[in-house]
Amino acid sequence: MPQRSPASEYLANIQETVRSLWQGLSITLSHVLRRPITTQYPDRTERPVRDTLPVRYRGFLEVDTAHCGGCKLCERSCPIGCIRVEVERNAANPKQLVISRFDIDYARCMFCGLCVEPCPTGAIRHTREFEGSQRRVENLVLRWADPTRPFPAYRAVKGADPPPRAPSGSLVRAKLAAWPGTRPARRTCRPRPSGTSQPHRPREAPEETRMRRKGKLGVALAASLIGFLGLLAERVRAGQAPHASLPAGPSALRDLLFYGLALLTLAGAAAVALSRNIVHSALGLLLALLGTASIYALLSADFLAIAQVLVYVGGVLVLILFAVMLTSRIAETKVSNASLGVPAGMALVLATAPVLLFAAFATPWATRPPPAPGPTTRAIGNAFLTRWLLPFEVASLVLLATLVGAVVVARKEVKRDEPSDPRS
Amino acid sequence: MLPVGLPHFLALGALLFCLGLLTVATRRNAVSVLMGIELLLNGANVNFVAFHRYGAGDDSGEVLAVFVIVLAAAEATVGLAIVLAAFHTFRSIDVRGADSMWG
Repeated sequence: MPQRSPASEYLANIQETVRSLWQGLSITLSHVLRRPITTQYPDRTERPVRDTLPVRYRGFLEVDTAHCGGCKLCERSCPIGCIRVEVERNAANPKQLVISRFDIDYARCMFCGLCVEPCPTGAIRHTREFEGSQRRVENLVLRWADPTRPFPAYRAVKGADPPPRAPSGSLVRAKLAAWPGTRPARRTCRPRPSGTSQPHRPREAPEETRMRRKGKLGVALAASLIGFLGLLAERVRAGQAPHASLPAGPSALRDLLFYGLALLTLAGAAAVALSRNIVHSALGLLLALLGTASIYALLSADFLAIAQVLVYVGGVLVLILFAVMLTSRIAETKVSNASLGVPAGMALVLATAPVLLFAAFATPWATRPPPAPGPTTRAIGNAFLTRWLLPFEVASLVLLATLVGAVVVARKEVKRDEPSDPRS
Repeated sequence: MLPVGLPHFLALGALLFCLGLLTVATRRNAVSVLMGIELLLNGANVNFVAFHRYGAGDDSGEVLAVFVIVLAAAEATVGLAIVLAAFHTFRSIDVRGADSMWG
């Protein structure tokens, strides 16, 4: 094997690194463009999961009180005794039996189906319902008979048809919906437009609009970034320094740039104010902050533009995203970013905006021709250390207080004298 | 169309302010409310910088804008810390839920 020189080995290493990095990243990048294949349960499933289960699935028991004869066969057959039935004589009509209690403890039920087998009328049966979470295990008891209003036992009448059966699952679903502290039994995927005859139509259309909307947001973000960078680059190229460039006088290019950037900024702000998804709101805020930074650059405030990007985009926005991820159920758009009092808020804005706009355009501002663009950092530094020295120091104190305060507020309290709860 | 000058930047600031106001007034999510506050501060900041560039006053506009950015960062930090603490207490960041001092 020929001896390789150190230099060529070094270069080969670099080449190898770049190639393997590209190999890995290309896989990642290819996933950026694909649609997610994870299905969010239960909101985004195409149809309720219970409808996809086998017909003879042994889910929650349900009791059709119109058919129950009060024979207690189910109570006797239950191997763990989770069914409790009490039968009394009707006080008004001693010949009639009434069922005053029919409790099923779903915490103990093992869904064996032994109670369903002996039931002579099919009053107790399994359903395909299985979602019923409760905070307290005592609440897992469903009472099918109301002790204050016991239901009469069913007696077959010769020659008469038995009462109609309720569709499987409808009774237990009603009970589950009324369960204390439960969420509504099921929040289905999304309300379908009424009148569509195919209930299991794949949801291509909404998915696509969502993707398209995301695409639009991404395009706007990219455009704002490119605009910002282009602005900086243009300045660097034109004036050898990021600050000395754009013609100070009115120019069509500058106006166009302003309108474009202002549009982007306002689009981002509108997303913050109106988007239903809080992550989209945060991305809109990113757009608005970047747009504002570009506006600062357009106003020859180079230091502020960079500070805006560093502090806001790099700090505040990341903090906000962290808070979003930590606190809200972001997959549920209704929960994540609900609004209230929109008409009142709109009225407030419609009262404020004309006043501000009128003031902006109608006031004869004492303006001066803009000074020649130049570096502003020196002037700001001078101002901080001369005229604004005291506020500057106070601001640093405020930052220190903020640091301490945020840590104190957000920290979880640790109690040392108690045995710690393993769950917390 | 008017050549872009001071009023245009002021108008942009005003519109940003209004959208921030709308966010603060209507959102139920405390984090969203904080985002609205950031929009309000940015609207004001655009005004500061525009006046600094075009106004006939002295040159303190940018300095004030820097102060606003600093205080906005501080406000966001403390605000989000409070939001997290409230979330631990109430298990929700719905601003309507935090009413335990409401007699």
